[in-house]
Amino acid sequence: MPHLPSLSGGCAYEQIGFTAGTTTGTTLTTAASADTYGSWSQLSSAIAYTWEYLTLHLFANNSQQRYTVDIGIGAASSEWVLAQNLPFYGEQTTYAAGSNWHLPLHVPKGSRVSMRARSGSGSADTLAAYITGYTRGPTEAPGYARMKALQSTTTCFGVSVDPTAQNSKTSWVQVNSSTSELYRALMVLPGNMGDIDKTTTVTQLFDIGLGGAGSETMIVQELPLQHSSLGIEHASNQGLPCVPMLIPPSSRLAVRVQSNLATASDRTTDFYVYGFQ
Amino acid sequence: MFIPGSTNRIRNLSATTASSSGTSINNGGSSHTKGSWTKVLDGATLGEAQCDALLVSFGKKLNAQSMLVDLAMSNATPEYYIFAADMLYARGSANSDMCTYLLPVRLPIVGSGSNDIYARCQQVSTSQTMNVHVSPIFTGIDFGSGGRCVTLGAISSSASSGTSVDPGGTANTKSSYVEFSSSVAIDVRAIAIAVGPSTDFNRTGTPINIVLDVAYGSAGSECIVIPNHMTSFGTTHDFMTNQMIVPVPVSIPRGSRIAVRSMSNNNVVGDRSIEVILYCFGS
Repeated sequence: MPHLPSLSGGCAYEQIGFTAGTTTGTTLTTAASADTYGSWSQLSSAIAYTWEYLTLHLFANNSQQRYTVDIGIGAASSEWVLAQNLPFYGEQTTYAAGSNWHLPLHVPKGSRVSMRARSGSGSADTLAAYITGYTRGPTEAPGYARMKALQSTTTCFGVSVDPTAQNSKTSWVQVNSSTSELYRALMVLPGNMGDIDKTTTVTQLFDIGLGGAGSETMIVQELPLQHSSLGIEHASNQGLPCVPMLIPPSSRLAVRVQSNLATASDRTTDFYVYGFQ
Repeated sequence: MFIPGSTNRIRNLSATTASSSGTSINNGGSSHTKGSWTKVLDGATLGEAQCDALLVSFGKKLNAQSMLVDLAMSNATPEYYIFAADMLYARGSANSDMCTYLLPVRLPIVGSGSNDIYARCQQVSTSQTMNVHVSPIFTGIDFGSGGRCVTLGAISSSASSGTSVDPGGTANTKSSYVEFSSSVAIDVRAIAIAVGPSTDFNRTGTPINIVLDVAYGSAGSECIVIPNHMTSFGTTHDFMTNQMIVPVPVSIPRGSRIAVRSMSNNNVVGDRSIEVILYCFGS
């Protein structure tokens, strides 16, 4: 569904993977094994424009699970991961189940675009995805070449941080001991560690530090997050959207949190930290 | 760019560390009327002459009604310049969740009493408290959009809500357009979309998917600039998703009519309508 702008210097877009007949997207099916990606699902065989910005739209189809998804470009069986390990919490019984992710990423015209997903359940869960690609972003800057997860991607969860003392910062918890490349922008997404049954609303502040253990410099200071009672996943509501920030190669990154509530099981948060190249 | 050890970092200057929360504001006494201004950021705490954008988060309200929040700069007089009007914070009751705005507004912040940031809010309730967090971004983000924010669709006199958009009685079919502006005042380079549950905080149907089209142009000749922007609602808790409210690129000339329509996979009356506010950035 390409759209050409009427203004000079305007913005064209196209949308791939949307299914109008059911108001949903292209189905992604996880592997029937926990924390294992399923096969790639094609959203477009060749996009019509070069994108500098995209919005990823996700709907859940079934059970209450933490998912992560990858966006890939390239030929079938040779997909190159453009955006890695984005979290999504799906539930379609009583809770809402959708997320929009706004990502300033460059995708060349003609690229084949596909996606894959995994969940923590061990079953073949499904979710639905579609993407809107734009020929420019809200900024004048070109899109980044790639988005990489900086924390371990072994499971669907991020780095767990447990604030045991009320209204006091935890110790720093390492996200990455030594980044492998230069990153030009940062994005941070907090989650509720899979606990959607908090007993009350929890408010927290988190820091991201850069530097060796014991000498961290705060590059993100006291950003808020909130876990609501009977809460859904929060990663799409809060945290730090992608903003320019230079992360040199070989950097150590860490996170710490303080919480207004020290109740065990309600206080733990997990973090996803992403670098943009 | 970030330089280690410099003030070039993202810092929440409204945080209240003693309670791990933000700065509390209250709508103060009258239904659907903005309360008093509360300072949420003291310019003296910054070492920078201006910020390139603001990350603004709202949290911890308790009842199930939408709130509208204004943000303003103020000088020592004080005189208030509202740079973001009627920002929607719509959550369900005890399930109060957070929403976050990325505002591409470039502001001068040159010292206490000169350019501080204030907030005020309104709601149907006469006394409702919420938290505000304001985090200036200095890291060279350049929206090139002129820094003005024009709000479309907010209803702040008779209600405290956005404009209702009903997908209509046929599932999976686009509704008619609802006009948000007959003539927008700026050249629009980006739009952020806020959605809420309208007046329905107790949906009865199955969880639903809703998508929005944002378009400009005369009635019957609309040109879509944001297609199928997604949201979804649950039942028991009436959450809506996508509360990271980030500008999406568009190109709309000033003077244009702007309209919104929707589509849902659920055509149950009472379950399908949402409230929508558009934040248009440009110059």
